[in-house]
Amino acid sequence: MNPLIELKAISKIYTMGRNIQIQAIKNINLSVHAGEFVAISGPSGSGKTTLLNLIGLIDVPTSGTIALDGKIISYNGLAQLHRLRLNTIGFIFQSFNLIPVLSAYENVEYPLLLTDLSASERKKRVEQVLAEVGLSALADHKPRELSGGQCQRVAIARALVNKPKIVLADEPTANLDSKTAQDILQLMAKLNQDEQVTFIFSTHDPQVVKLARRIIQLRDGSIESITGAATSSSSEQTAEVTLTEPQQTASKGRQSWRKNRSTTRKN
Amino acid sequence: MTLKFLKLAFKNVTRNLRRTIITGLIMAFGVICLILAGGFMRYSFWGLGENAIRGQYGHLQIFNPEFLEQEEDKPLQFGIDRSDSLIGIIQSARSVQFAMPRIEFMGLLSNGEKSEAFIGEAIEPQPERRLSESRIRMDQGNHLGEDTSEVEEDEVILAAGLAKSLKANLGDYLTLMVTTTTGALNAVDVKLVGVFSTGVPELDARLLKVKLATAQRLLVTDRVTKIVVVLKETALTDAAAEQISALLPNYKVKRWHELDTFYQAVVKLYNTIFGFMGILIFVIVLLASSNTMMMSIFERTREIGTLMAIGSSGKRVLGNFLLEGLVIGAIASASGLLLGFLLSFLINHAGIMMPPPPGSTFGYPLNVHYVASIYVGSYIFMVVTAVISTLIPASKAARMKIVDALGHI
Repeated sequence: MNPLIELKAISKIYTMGRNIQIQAIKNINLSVHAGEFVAISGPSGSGKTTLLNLIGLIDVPTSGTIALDGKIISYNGLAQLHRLRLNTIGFIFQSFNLIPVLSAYENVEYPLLLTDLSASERKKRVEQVLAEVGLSALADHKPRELSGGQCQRVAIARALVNKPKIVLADEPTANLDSKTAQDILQLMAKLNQDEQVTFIFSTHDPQVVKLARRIIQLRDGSIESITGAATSSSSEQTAEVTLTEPQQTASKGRQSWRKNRSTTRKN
Repeated sequence: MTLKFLKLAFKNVTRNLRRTIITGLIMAFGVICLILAGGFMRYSFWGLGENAIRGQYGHLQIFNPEFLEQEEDKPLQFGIDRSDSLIGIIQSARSVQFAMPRIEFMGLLSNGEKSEAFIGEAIEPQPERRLSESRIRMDQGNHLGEDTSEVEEDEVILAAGLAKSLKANLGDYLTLMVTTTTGALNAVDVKLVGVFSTGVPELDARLLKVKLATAQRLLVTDRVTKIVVVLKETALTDAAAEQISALLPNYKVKRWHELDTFYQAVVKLYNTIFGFMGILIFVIVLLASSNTMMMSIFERTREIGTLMAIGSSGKRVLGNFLLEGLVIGAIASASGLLLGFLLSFLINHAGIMMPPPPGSTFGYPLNVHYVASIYVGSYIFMVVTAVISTLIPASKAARMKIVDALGHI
């Protein structure tokens, strides 16, 4: 089976000022399969956000290639990048990044306004996805009238409303208390299981990392280790993981994921 | 779907309401300026036009074409023969109220001791009074043809400056001396029955009027210089000119504004001033509105990054901001129209008098016309300006790098 996302020899160098160059990502090779629930972990400055930005096609690698669904991304076609961001990728941000003047319903509806869907189809989808994140009753509320956890649920609904294949979440629980953070992670895990959407999220919280089935540990822009196997939530088959740099230290993370998953099922 | 984006634009412009209101007020002020200046300009054109029509030119004048093309060697060399039959034809046109002949001539006016050069106008008093009675101010005496005495005499009315120069009083007899159509000298005694003012000092120093019959006898001719046509409405001028040109193919029809060079100069001057004012307003609104939009974009940089990260194209971002410019422009301009209308109404009912314009001795009431085309034009101008002023900052927003925008604090 082809990986959904495939990064080959990806590097990203930022130039600060005239001559200072900072290599945020160093020669990373990574494959993520459909239906995976992956955490990118590492200390601040390790390149988590940069890696997510590159996977989300909102930043351009200095070298290397990224393939989505087997197709290598060309950064020359802006329209194609917009289409991919709109239809294939969903984004969840640390600070939620909701539009303050729009209600929860309107925030979730916004990506659909960029498509050709009819008004009735849009309404159906928004209501469905708001129900999935448990916010149907607060659909008319503005972000300022919602708690942090509720705002993040709106952001998750917005990320999912276009039925993307991949949802990228940059520190989605960093601005939340531990209880709300657990709830949000469990919601993401449930959606991953129910909707078969691939989730990749960055975090440096060890408690949150435990919930992931595969953990990619970054340090100084390189993959330090990958824990767990590339496994779809539906098949539970272990797919082949392309690892070039670090060794695979599997079992611990996988066990914790199984434990979590059985808890989710019971719920 | 466009409605949804319009709704979003409306919500966005109310985010910082105070800033939006200030920008809107600048735009509304611009519209008010355009409406008042444009309305006053149109009133001035109308006033000048009606003065020119009623006081001097009528709506149309019919000439022998050669009169306009060549200089005359003798008085009325290129005049119009059989003016009565031509007037009959002209008056058959539906838009014509009436027509009348005139002679223009020059000569010397003497009181026996002193002579002054004059510009004479020979008229038929009855129709002339229908045209211009309310426009010509009689300082003393009567108009021509109002003398009730049984003995019919050759009458003259003088402009105030000419009467003053000759120290002429009502009832005095003066002598008109001219060169006839055959080149001989001729003279006639005329009785001063009235003194009038035109409002134009240069004309007041030289102008006199006599009856047409007096001038024809004095000049020894049946010809007239021109036929003056008065229409039922000024707006019919162009259509009537075409119609009469068709009826009288051998004659030249001139419209009043073609004859009045002063009017043409004023229109040109006012249009230049109005255009300059339009440019100033455009620049002021452009700067104010651009500044507002730039501040708005700066404050919403992260949001722009978010929208692009979730699939908005640069064009969509640009479109959203242009819609915001459109919303501010549309609402502010509509308010400007309303306020401009109210101010025009107040000015028109305040009875404010303007000082006499250059070259005139009369003041006139300050008035602002309600001109639909100026209202529509000002509205469109301001909305377009608002959108243009959004274009530069919005283009900048649309070209932002997503990661840079998301990282903006």
